[in-house]
Amino acid sequence: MTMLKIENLHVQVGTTEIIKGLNLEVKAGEVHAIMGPNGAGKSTLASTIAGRDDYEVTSGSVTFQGKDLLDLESHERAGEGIFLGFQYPVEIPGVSNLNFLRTALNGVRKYKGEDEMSAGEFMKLVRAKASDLKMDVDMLKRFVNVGFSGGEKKRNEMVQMAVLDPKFAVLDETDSGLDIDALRIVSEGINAQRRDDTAILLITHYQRLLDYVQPDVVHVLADGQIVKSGGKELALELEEKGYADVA
Amino acid sequence: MAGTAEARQQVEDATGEYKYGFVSDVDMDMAPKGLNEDVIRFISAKKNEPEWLLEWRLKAYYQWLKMEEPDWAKVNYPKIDYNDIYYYAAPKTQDKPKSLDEVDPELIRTYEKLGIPLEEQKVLAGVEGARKVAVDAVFDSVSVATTFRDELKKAGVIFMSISEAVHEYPELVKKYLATVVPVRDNYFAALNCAVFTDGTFVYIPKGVRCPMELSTYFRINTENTGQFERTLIIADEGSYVSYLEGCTAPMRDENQLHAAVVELVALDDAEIKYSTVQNWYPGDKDGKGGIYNFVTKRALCKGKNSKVSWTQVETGSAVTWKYPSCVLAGENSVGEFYSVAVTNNYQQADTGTKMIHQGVGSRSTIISKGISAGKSENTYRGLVKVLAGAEGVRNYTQCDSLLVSSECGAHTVPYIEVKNPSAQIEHEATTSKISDDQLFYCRSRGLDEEEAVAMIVNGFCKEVMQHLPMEFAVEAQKLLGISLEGSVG
Amino acid sequence: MQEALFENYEKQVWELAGIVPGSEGVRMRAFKQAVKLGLPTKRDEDWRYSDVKFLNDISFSISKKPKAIEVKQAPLSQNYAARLVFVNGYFDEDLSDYAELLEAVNVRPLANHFTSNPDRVDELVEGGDGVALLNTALMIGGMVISVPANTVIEKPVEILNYSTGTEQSASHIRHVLEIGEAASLNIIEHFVGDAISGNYWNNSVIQARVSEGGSLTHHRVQEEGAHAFHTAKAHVSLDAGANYSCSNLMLGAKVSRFEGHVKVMGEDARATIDGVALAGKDQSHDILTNVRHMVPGSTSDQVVRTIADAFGKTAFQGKVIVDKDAQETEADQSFKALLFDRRGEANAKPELEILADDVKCSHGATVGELDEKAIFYLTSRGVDPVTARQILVSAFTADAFERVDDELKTVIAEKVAQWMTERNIG
Repeated sequence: MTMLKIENLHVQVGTTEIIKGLNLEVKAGEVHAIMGPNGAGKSTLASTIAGRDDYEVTSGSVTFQGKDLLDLESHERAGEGIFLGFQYPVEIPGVSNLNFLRTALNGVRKYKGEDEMSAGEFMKLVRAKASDLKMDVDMLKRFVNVGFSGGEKKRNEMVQMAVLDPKFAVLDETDSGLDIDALRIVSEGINAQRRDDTAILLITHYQRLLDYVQPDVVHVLADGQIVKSGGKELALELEEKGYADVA
Repeated sequence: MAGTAEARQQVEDATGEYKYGFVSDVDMDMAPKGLNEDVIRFISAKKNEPEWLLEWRLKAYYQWLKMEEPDWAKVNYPKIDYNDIYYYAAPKTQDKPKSLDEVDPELIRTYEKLGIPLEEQKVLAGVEGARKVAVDAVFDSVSVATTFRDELKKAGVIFMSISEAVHEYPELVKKYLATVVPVRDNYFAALNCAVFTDGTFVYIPKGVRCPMELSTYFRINTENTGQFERTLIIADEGSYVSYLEGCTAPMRDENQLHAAVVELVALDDAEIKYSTVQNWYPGDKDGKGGIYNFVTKRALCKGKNSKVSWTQVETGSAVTWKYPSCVLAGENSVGEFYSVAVTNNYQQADTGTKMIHQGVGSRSTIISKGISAGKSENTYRGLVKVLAGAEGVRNYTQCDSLLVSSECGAHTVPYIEVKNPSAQIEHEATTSKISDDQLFYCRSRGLDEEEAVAMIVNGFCKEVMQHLPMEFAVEAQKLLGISLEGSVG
Repeated sequence: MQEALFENYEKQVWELAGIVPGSEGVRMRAFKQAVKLGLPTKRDEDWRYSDVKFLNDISFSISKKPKAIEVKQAPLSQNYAARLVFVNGYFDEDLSDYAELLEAVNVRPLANHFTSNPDRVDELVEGGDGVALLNTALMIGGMVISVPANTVIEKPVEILNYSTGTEQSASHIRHVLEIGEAASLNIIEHFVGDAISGNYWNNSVIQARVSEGGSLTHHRVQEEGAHAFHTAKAHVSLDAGANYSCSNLMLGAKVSRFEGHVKVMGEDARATIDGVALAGKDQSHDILTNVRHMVPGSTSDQVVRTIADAFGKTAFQGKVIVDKDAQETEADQSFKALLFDRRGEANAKPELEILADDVKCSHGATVGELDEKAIFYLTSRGVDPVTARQILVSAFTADAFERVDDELKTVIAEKVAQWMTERNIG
């Protein structure tokens, strides 16, 4: 079953076109990795899927489980089951992680026509997910990402993903800035989210993450287009030869 | 009261707007419209006041006639016709009710709608471990019920309406009335002295920690009524009290006037925590109606180590003119001001504080958060003054303004006046737009735009909200969300 | 009270109208407006921290042009493009040195402006209050300096205002600066009072228009006589990409005040107003700024430092206005005051008035004494306390002179150090 389908996507930021006719199809149960050099449009693609305002789709379509995603506001996309793991998680002083996450979860549930989760249930869920990701619950009482180290921010993203349980996660350079232990923990988080009824799009620079999270398909993104696709061996080839030779 | 049912229907139709905008159908006893010596005599007679108080009122009235309405605040409103206002409106009861059973049931229902635990049982039957809150309820002009009086009496705490206190504790009232806010302090204060109808009186004796939160709920109900309450709180040596104040009014097309005076006195080692959630009717989205809230609140930290902490969440009123202040006379006395002021639609708020440092080693903290949305104007105006004899004074001030729309205004007008070199005064202020990054982050996680704005605004106000007592904090947080409804998109 | 003053000033208007033909119309218009508004008092919000009593107490006469006088005052900048010397408000051709400047720039006395540009004379009525209007009504001298497009005068043009300081005399000076597109001018105004000067009043107004991409640098060093009153205003408007950079050192006079009014009318324009005021015994120094951002994308920055010693008084009233359409404005104000003595006084009113939403505006203000921990740190390393304080005061004031070029910066730093030495506070 097709989850995400992108056809001939063109995206402009300001007056500059970044994505220039991109096609991509991701089926349920699959993990895709998108690799590519800096400035290829990887983060733009991620932000466009999540619906960031200042990214203007000039043509093409993005559908999610048959629905036109481009018609939906970003929070509605989250309600549909899209999750974006930010490359640079944003700090929000004064807002506690728990409050933020609970409001987000109930927002998603409301969108799906489900009842709000009680405080008790919610805490149980968060405790479980946080402990899976070796995250101290006390950290969740702190303000969103404020004073977190790079690794803590990324683990926090994974806790949020686990709690929100999206159908489709786009993880934008989730592996950057992590030491090997943190990378292992984050990878476990990603693998836990890998099921028959979910799909994941990994955006990464390095082969490293793919040792822990084995992709089904690897794409090379260059100058706003997917220039090559293949199995996980493509990632190794890229690592060896560099983007210039492969693409 | 014709049209009441109709008005109630309108309110029900407009759910989600001003939640407290119902009108109560209560039989009222009113003074004739307008202000003159006779009206003041009428008020005084109605309250069976002693001669000295009547004379004091009349003196204040003639003082007021000589004064001019202030125009320095950044607010605009049509000239008030002080003769087109009812200065006295009281629910009709034969005598002062002896118990709650005697109170007009309609009134009880009004308070139930406001969520006030007027009946003591309700509080007792409340959530496990919930703190007790003693409530004094002021309806238009008079105090209608004070709860928990007996229990407080055992602790020696006096908590009653000020009109009762005039009879029961005349010496205390005489000793402190208008000592913090003099009659001629300002135009609205003088007016209040002349026509004040009721309010709350609190006295905490030496060494007593008040066993529960004290609370007053004010409600303006009758049309064209001014509410001029007067609150006087005295914390004797080594005592502590936390006092909460809530305000609501029905939705009306005309503007209603509220000119209160609040005086606090803290003696040696005493502490008063005064929290306000001001939710007077702000007017509709086109700026029609709403309360003019012209309030003088001042604390005298008279004793050494005394402390007064003002916390306010201002979401209501069409026009707010309010500067809860501290005169820090005592050695090592402490003044605090934590404020959130939200304005939306056509609301105007000019609010802030004055910290007057007279005492050696006195300290003050000011945290002000202004949120402007719609076409509103939001001004912080504050004064930090250090007198020459006040050695070792500390002040920290932080004023942040958040702009939620492109048509609103945010203004910061701090005055800093220092005459002693050992003072350390720090003032910081910022004004910025609500962050697109934060909005997008919240929305990408499933919050709609209004929820996202409410959440970010709540985060922005955190430093202030955490100073509110629990009971209030939750309510205040919801209020912020409601106040900003319709501010985005 | 003011009636008698204005009666006197009206006589002076007619006197001056006779001396400068063509000026009577504009003088009278300004005078009538001044009468209507009255002279400022402490009740005026903008003057609440000023000692303005003198304006209402003293009936000043127009200062007299002295007969040949020797002015020994050395220039602040040795390497100047020109030096224009005014004595008691009157231009002194003999003491000035500006032949070279004339080759590139149009410099003419204000009196000529009345005859050569009658259509533009009304522009001289600028600024709302009675003090500015009195300046217009009674101006006795000044220069109109027009820098043609693309002309860059790098070296400073120094304007020395020397006052002999006859008791109760007033000099109303007016300069008009016109900076063409992509042109630039650097002026240093130096106000000096004679050692034996009395309670004279120096009232100066500068009007400047900086065209697109142009730049005006405006430094002021105020060393009026000990009994003097000094009021000065700069009214500057900036076109797109234009720059106005102002610095102030306020040392002299009994009562002194500088007002910087900037209208930022073009995108990407930038205004900076900095200042240091050092108030000793019986001195009162005021800095008032009013920067109005009228268009999107402009910036302003203000750094003001003041020190008040015993019986000295300083005030900063800084206002930033961001108009409704002026999105993406960035405005910053930093004010710090030191008090050396409990008989000193520091006042501040840093004000933001913001009507646009996409802005970054901030201000910070602190008042206190010198950091004792820092003094201890320095002294524990062997620095004597007087020097330690000197060092800290230099650091404290240096923030406000960051934008001054090196030569002048050195001169200013010396003057600040000299002021500290006179105090000898250890």
